Amino acid sequence: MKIMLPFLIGMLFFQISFAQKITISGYVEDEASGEKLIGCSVYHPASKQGTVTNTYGFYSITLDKTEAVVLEFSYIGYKESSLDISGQSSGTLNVKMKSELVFEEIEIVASREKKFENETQMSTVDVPIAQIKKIPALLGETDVLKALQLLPGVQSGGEGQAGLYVRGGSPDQNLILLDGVPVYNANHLFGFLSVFNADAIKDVSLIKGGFPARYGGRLSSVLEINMKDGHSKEYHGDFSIGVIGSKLTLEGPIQKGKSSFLVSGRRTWLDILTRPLIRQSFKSNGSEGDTGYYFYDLNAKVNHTFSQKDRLYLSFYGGNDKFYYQEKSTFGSSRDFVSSDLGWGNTTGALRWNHIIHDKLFLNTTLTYSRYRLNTGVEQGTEYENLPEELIGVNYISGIRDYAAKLDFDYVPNPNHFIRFGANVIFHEFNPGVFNLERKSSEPGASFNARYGQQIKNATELALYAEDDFDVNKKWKVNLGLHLSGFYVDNKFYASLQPRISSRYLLPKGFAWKTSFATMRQYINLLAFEGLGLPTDLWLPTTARIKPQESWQMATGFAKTFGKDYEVSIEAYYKKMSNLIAYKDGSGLFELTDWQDRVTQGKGEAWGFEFFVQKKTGRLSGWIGYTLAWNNRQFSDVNEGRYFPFRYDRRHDLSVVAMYEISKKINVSGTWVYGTGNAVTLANSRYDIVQSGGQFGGIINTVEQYGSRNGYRMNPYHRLDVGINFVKTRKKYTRTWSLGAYNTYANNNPFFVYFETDTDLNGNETTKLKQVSLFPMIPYINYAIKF
Amino acid sequence: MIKLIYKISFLTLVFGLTSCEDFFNTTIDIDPPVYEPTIVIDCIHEKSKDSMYFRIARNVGVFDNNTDFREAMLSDAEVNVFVNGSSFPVAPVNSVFSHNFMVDFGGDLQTGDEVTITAKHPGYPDASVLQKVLPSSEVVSVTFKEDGGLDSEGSEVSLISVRINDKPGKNYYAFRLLELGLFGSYNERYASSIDPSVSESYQNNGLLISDTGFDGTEKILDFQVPQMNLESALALLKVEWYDISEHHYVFSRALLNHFNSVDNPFSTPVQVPTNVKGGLGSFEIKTLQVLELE
Repeated sequence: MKIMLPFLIGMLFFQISFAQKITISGYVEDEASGEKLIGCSVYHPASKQGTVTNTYGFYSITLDKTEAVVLEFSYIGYKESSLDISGQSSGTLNVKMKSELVFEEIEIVASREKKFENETQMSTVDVPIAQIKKIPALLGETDVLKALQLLPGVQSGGEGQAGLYVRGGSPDQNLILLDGVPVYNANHLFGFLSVFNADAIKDVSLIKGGFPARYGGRLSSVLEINMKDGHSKEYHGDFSIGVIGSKLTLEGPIQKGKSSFLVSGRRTWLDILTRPLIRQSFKSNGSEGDTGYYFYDLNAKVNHTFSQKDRLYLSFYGGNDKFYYQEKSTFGSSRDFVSSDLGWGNTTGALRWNHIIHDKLFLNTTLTYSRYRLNTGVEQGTEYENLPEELIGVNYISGIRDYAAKLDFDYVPNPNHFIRFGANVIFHEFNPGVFNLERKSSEPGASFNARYGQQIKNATELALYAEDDFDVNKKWKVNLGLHLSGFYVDNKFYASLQPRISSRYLLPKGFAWKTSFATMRQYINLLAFEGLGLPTDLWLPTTARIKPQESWQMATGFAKTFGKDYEVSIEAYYKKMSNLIAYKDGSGLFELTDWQDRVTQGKGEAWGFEFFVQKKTGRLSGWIGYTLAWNNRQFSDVNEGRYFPFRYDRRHDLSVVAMYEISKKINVSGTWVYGTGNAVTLANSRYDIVQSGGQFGGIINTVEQYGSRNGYRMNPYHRLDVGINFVKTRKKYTRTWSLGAYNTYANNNPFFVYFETDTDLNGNETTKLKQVSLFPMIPYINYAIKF
Repeated sequence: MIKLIYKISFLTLVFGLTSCEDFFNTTIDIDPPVYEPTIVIDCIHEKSKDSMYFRIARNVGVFDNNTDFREAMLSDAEVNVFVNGSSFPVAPVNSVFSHNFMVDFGGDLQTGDEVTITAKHPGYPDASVLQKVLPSSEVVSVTFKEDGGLDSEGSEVSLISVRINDKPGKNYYAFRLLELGLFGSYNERYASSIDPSVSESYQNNGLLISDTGFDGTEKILDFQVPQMNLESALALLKVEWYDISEHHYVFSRALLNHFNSVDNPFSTPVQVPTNVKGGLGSFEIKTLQVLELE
């Protein structure tokens, strides 16, 4: 509370000192759909001051009454809107922005104040969802996370994987928020696709460093994904069918202008398509059975505007992946059966209430629920005609469940200050892995139901924050903040005070120099096996024995907009991490021993340079991103305690993304990526040992002796993806055929390497290093209609 | 709609198949990795035995093929064995066996004895290892229960319970179950435990026990064995109970994890630890108690 006091006093001061001014506030939205626009620039040319809309499209700007003439609103992809506010007193001004079509060739002369170099926030990238949808994708499935992997400072884990490694961090260090709710496992199909359905998404923003104080709980990045609110005026829909599945999205008004809804679902259909063949295959072996894999997800959102001051949003996400196998064989009057499955999925929900307390103070109250669950099991037994079934079943469940509440205040006393403060509390329920063993039998006393494994652990995470984005003078702008966090677990309370500062200084010729410093602390840990985005990842808390992960990061760089819309930035960063968690050598997942005995904690450091040029508008759009980076780890019981390269230490990482609108009917896109090969550990020698004593010895085993950890580099990775969209607009709908290919020139990109020893007919052995590649050229075709 | 799905699938299949020949597995040419030639000392000895057999060998490069375990032996190495600083004569062993040296102590080693093996060979750094003879732990009882419920795979099991008095300080044990075979010899029999103090090891090293969770207290350790009746169990089974060093505990666990990880490209490589100074391998002197079931 002591921390909040200066801000409350400050608010009072601003109220008094700016009593002679007028305050204009309101929402900015898309004229056609009513979707709120996030980050829309609101600029007052007379005073050369401005602000931006918040996550809910709300803005507030306070001006001298004499100055007030025109307010300009601008947003990427929309026509600029200028509104005359002469003579207007304080009040509400809701603004509707008209979408700009590429071929209208409207000249946008962006004023200096609206350019990205004017923001204090650095290391942040917004990729318009329309651009993400045009990027050619593996199997034609648009993927938000894979699009983000093409940005500097962001890497993928491996071929086709959707995991994000941001500035040397690991995937658990990314705070992925879907409508403000953390999503714990963002993977479908073992990481080859992410859980985010692009058709339901309005906005994507990634923060890699210089974290504002309102964010906390993760070390490496914040990825904010906001779902569309739903068209508030007309009913619309999208349907698409592609190589692996199909999607359907419906949106429209519930009460015109007041409330709207959006529902979007997708499901893979390969299991349905192959089911007759698989069943026939079982039948030909004299049994009944089925096996397959599918995933589905559903996004839904409703919102209602109660008044100018109150809006309510309810959003939901549910998704599941499932492998299944079932077989039944009949023997006389009995049937033996076996079934096994592996399923994982997330469920999230958020109830948000936006309330404008007064024209300068905006409150968002959120209640959230998030759950990730992994479930795998096997059952086998016999069904009898006249007797109860005999059954033995083992089931393993692990996961995490969160209930959270938060209050976020946005206070804009004048154009020189944008103050945010708030608090949140999260109740975590960790399930580190429980086995359920069931036995059903007609034999008296032989039925059995037992539970083994780790104890479910509860923990409470708290946070308080306050930040002010303010102008020190006309050239220097600072975002100063403090994040206070606490974590209560095992009767132990951890507390942390995390200062955050970002600064922007305007240099001559339109350059801006930006610097930032942020400390972060993370109380929850992901225990993951390196390499694949397996659903077996375990989320675990900080405990009395396992310390919270911590980091600090410094970044500095220059930004400038060249020409009309070429945003160029260059940044350098250094990040130090401590108490990182990893499995001890060779530890396994399905073990009954305490997970705390299976992990080790260590340090990490990452540093590098990033170059980014982005063009968001016009017929040609896209970006070029280059990263030069170093990324090391140190664990006392690994590599003789010496620093070693992180597996995803990638010295060079280059992405070129381009989209070009040939005509209203045809657009093409392409991406080319290049990355230094992943670091892996290879054996350099081997020796024999005998595993029993005695005169005659025992079995000889050959042990491989490894060189330094991650001391070998796999071959560099490079790939070209291309795509073309044919769009045809009919009277009632627009249809799009999308064709493309992943890894167009079929480069043998390394997935993993291993030693293989061949023996010839004379018994001579030859050992070779083999490389396994995963994807050759993968073409895709997709059909979509929008109505 | 179904037609459309099949059309899409067909096109994808045709494009896909034309692009994947000889793609997935390729050979990478790399220079042989540099490694340091090192002496390997490999010995597991039981305290109660008069003669100790061991192997002095070398490591070979990962691309050095056709080097079997005999060729890697350094039988011309200069080897010495000391007990509490006193030298014992070392004799070569016929190389058809997996060991190439032995030493006769002329009697049991005593608790607290320090045994050192040193090995020298031109072209290799000197290697030496010291191991201390451990005292026997106090085993109070070993009981057998015919009906021990189900194991984690749903099979009916019997239960062997070992009650021990653990001494304060770090202690490590190993459990092996033996069954009398047809020709009077004992064979190792499978046992498992869900007790978190118990973990698996590689091959003949039994189940490993760490006293981390019960240091200095009396402890009952339950071991599940495939179900058998009490009469047979008493007649056929016996338990080997070992006191082992911390190194051997860590080494045996690492060895299991090492072999589990070698063929898994996604696992973190497991480096097998050594207690040999200047070399590789492992030297262990176990203290054995053979326990009859009650």
